[in-house]
Amino acid sequence: MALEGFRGSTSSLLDKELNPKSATSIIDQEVEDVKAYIRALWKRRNTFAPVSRLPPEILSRIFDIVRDRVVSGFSYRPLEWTRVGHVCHQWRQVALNSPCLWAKPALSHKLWTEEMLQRSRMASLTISANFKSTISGRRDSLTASLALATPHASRIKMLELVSEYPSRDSLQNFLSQIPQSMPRLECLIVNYDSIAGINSAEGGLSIVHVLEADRLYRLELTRCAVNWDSQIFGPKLVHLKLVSIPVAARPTALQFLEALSRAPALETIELRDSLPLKRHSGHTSTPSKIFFHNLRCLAMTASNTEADNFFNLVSFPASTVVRLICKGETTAEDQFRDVLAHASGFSSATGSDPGFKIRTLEVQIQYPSNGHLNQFRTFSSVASDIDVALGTAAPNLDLVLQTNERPSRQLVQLFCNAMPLTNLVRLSLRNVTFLSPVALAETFGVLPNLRSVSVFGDFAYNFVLALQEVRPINTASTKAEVIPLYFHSVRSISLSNVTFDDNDLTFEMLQDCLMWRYECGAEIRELKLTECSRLEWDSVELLREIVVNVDWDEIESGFTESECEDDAIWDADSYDDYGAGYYDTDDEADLYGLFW
Amino acid sequence: MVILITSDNVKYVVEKDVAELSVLVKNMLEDIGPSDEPIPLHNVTSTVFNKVLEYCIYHRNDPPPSDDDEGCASPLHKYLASHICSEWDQRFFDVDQALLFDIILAANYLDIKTLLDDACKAVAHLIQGKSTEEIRGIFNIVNDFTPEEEARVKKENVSS
Repeated sequence: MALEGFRGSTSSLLDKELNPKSATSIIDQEVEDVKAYIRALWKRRNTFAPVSRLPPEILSRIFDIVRDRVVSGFSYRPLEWTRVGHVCHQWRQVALNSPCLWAKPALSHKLWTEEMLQRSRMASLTISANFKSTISGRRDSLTASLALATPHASRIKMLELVSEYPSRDSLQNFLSQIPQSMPRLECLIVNYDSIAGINSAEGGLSIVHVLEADRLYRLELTRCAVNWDSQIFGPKLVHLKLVSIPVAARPTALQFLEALSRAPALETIELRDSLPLKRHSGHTSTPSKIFFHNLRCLAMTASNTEADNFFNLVSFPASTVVRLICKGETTAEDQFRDVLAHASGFSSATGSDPGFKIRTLEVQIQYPSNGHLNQFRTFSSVASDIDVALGTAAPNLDLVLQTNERPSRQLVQLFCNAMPLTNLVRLSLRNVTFLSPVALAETFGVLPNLRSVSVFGDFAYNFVLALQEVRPINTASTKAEVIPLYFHSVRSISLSNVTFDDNDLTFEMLQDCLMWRYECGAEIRELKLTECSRLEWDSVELLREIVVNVDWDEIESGFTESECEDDAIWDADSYDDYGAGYYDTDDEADLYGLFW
Repeated sequence: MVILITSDNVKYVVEKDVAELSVLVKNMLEDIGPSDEPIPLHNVTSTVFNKVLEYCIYHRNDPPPSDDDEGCASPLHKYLASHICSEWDQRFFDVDQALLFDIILAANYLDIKTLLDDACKAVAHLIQGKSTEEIRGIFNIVNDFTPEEEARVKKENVSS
């Protein structure tokens, strides 16, 4: 119909003698008709837009992506994506007829929560509420929105709640109302952050009444009490993370074992201060170990006893990456003997898994204010320092032994005696300043396949002396003309951040060492010097006369006062960043963050 | 090698691993068994298929798309998953809208999940962060809401 038709009709009406009221009414109606006609034209026009060729399911898929970008992008306008329903009639219809699009209600907006819950119809829901660092008014809004979501709890697929103390009651209220059975629940994350210690009577949050969640494959709980006998530990569970489980809510060893045995498909297990405190001591016989065939990563923070108990109950393939912070409980130097005995078996072959040989070992000591951290990282490949720094080589075992005592030679010796290091090719040492040259030589210098050693910092002084130590002569096997040295098979050394001066390692000492090893038939063929100060071009040239391959970064520094001052400032900064200041808090997460 | 014929009768000889990125083609190959018979692609023109082929050749060695339910992925995972990260992909999808939608329709017809996902992300990129008016401008769409819809939309705008 053409617009002229409307004009004609209106004109003819105006020609008639009508009372003003009737005429107005007729004209108003005609205006409405014209508007409807124009809308029909616009609608028709929109069908010719290229985007209208997309079928509704694809348009809906695009809307999903727009939503996920906004929601997961931590936007200040989390509802910006709802504009897709404000563009035109067709887009709005597509949006309203896509229940999944509305299945992640924006809990920060109560009105929208209600609307989205309704629009999502029976779609599985994602409920995600972060109360942390939220101002009081916003907390109230979140609480009210959670209350609205409660009747829909049975269709929750993903539940993620992050909270701290002020929101505890409202969160607990919500958790208490969710049903015992959560048939659609696939992912449950409850992270309750409290300043109260895990021994506190406050007790964290409780989800002990949730008994069934057959589809659950991801469970992450921080400061939560869970029912260890429930079916939330089920055959579909692949990712388990338990952090700071209150002492009163920890399982017994038997409960823990039975819960884990119901989840044989686990691929990642992260347990931080959550393990049973006591060894299994029932009247029944010792339970057999559970073997997790699919386990890829095991991360644990536990006391020495807890860790020992755990490894008595659980085993896994050699391909599993193990990250363990083990806290000492006594001052006894051999307290870690049992844990190390377990660790020594991690690389062993099991079933179809061929196991692996330790090729690289990194030893690093940290001195935070709340203990001493002795870190040992083993790799199945010959990993360079750059590989390790860039993460292109990942350790198979990352073990931190935390003690209150100062690090000692005995602890390092204990580790080296326990672990199968016969095939070790590369060794990296940082901050092991307590190891004397003799201790260094006797601990690492006897490894038969060790080819390359990297040392960092002024500890190089002890290392250079260790390289010159003479081994006790075994007349039966040693040729008389060769002086046997420790580190006999080492051919490559790397020195980083070393200052060559009279108070420490001097250039001449290094030169003598290299000469001595050459004369003893144990010459160093590769020498790498990185970020060393007070090292000059001419000196390096002298080293090149002894060593075939000298790789120097050609940085000449430390010769002027200003550089020395800069170094001093840098050292102080380093101390703040990585030294005692960094560990002023005893928050385990900080410790954990350092190593993981 | 696999012979494919587009709707405008252009013949393509494509390596099997590339052709099999399309689930439709893969299923057809399985159905007909070893044969030199060409496979017709009724809903794809050569212009569009050239682009599809370019994408498939570039991504032929990519790991297969994961079946993970994105609903349970971490926020970072979801954020990364919803963005096109590769520069090559960004350049690939920098085409006029008509062709972009043709690629989407072809990917949907040929059942090439990664191409469909990436192309949808490219369209989502055009929408994200834009006002309603801007979105209408970009896609050549006009406001055709009824007064009731208009009132509802206004209300939603206020509450968001």
